[in-house]
Order: sequence, then C-alpha cells, then structure tokens
Amino acid sequence: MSRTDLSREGLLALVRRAYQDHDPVPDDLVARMQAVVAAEVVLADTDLDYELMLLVDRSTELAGARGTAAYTLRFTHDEVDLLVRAVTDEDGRTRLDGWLAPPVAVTVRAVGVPDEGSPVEASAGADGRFEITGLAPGMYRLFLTPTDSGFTPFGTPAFEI
Amino acid sequence: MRVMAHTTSPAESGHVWARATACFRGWLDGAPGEEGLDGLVRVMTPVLWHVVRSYRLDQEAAEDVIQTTWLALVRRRESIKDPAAVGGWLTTTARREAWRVRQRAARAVPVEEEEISFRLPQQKSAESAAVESDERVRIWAAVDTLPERCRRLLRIVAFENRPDYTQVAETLDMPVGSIGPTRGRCLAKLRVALLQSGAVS
Repeated sequence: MSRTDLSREGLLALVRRAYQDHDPVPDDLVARMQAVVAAEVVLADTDLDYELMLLVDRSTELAGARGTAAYTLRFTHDEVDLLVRAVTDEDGRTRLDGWLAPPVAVTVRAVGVPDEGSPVEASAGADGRFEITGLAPGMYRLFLTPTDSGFTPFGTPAFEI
Repeated sequence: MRVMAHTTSPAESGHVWARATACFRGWLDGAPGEEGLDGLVRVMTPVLWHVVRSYRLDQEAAEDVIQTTWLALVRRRESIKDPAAVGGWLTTTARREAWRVRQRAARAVPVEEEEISFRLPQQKSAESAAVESDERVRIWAAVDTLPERCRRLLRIVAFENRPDYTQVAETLDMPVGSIGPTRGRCLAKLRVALLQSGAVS
C-alpha cells in the first residue's frame, strides 16, 4: 500500500495525469505540426519573405445539398483581410473563393502541406477576388504575392480542407 | 489504497525540457528528424496543447494557436540566444497567442463557458472500465471540483516549466502578486478534495 505524494510536485503530477486522461492531445496533431514546420523550414530557406496572416475567424455553414460542405475562414494581417470560402463537392474536391479587403491585385498559390510540388495558382484582379478549384483533401497554405512589387507577400497558416 | 505508480514520471517533468533543449540545439546544428526539429515538435506539442487549452479555446482554435507558435519559432529562431530557453519561449508564445485569440472571441460572442469545456469522455469498453481502478475517475473528479481559476492556473503550472508569473497573471487576468498565493490555495483545495473523495490515502 503506497501513499500518494501530496507534495506540491506530487499534486502537479496528478493534475498532469488528469488532463492527459480527460483532454488528450488530438491524434495526429504532432504529425500535422511536424509537416507544417518542415514546410516552413523549406520556405525559410528560399528568398520568399512573406508576412504571416493569422486566422481570426472560422465558421461552418450547414451542409448544403447533395453532400456538399462549406466553411469560411478569415485571415488578417495589419490592415488586410482575407476571406476564404471553401466548398467541397460530392466528389471530395474543394473550391476556394477568396477575396481581399481592401482589394489588392495578387497572384495566389495554394501549396500543399507537406508540399507535393504542384501548387495550384490563381490570380485576383483589382477587385481582390480569386478562385481556386479542384483541390484534393489535405492541408494547404495560401501565398499571396501582390502584383505591385511595393507590397510584401502574405501567407496563411496551414488549414485543412 | 494503492495510487498511481508513476505520479512523477520523468517523461513529464524535467526530461521534457532537457529533450526540447537538445533537439533545438540539434536542429541548429543541422541534425535531421527526431534529433532535431521533429523531435522538438514531438516533445513540445503536447505541452503546448495543455497550456493553450487552459485558455478555454475549442479544439480547432487551440490547434491554430499551436501552429502559429511553431511558425513563429521557425521564423524567429535566431532570437532564442540560449537553447535552454526554447521550451519557455514556446509556452510563452503559445500562451500569449491563446490569450489574444480568446480576447477576440470574447469580444465577438459572449461565450457560454460550459459549452467549450473540455469534457471528452474517454471511450472505454465496459470490461476495461471495470478493470480500471476508479482511482483516476476520482482524481479527475477532485480536479474538476476546483474553481475554474484554480483549474486553469494549476494546469498551466503543471505543464509549464517555472512559468513567468507576471505573464501568467496578465493572461489570466489576475493580479501578479496573487498568483503564488492562489496556486498555494488551489493546491490545498485539491489536496482536501483528494482526501475527502477517497481517491488517495
């Protein structure tokens, strides 16, 4: 019969165990973060100097007809907002509709994480809108390079579709 | 009553920070995989999870905060002069980001606290549930009876390595000077709850 260690360290160890049991780290989180980090290291070794946008909002719409699903992500950096609506059709392919506010003409690249080497490109005109189609399920990051070289490129964190 | 054999598993205390330091140093020296960055992500992601979740973020928001933290590390690795500081740098960055996200969420929608609480009942077969001692259940019950501020503070203190109390206070909206005494009171409450529930002897 052993006694529990009710010292400060012993109690904190019990707290750790309790949370590890009741709010465990999601499956695959480590693997996903390793993929994100590996891709970022590759990127850091190139000369692409981009500003990281942060995800500030995520909303899921009720599933539409015929098994389609849609959600909207909002990213922001300084004064620039990027809204992305992702719609997945019944074949599992996803279309991204994006718009930038204020509108900026940009080239957009959707890069897989991990990067399989075939980014999907699109461009937004002066209205700041773009469309990317046919994305397979997976994690992606968007990189937006303004046509006007006076602006710094932006990149989103990875998101899953 | 016999109680958890490994209340102070080395994998959960000092080992984490030593491993994080070794992997960070390995990465800077060009070591691949688990001796470098992959190893650092593997050992620190669970710590970041528990720290970030104490800020009442749902699972997706918590994962976003953790990703932001890792991207920040890659982008700002040169700012960490002492490899031994990498664990603290990561938890501090994650905590600030979690707080920031939480502030914004609180402004946008008044959140029902219980709605996003992290009760994730573990799925267990009747058999394994029967075999398992009810000790863990009772220990959780004791933790769960604590006031919310106690649960959040103890979770942070349990998973972090000597966190800076000034920053913890700021992000928990508590006065700096109260963190130490509050921690002491919360631990005392936990001790009493454990003894009363019969979870421990």
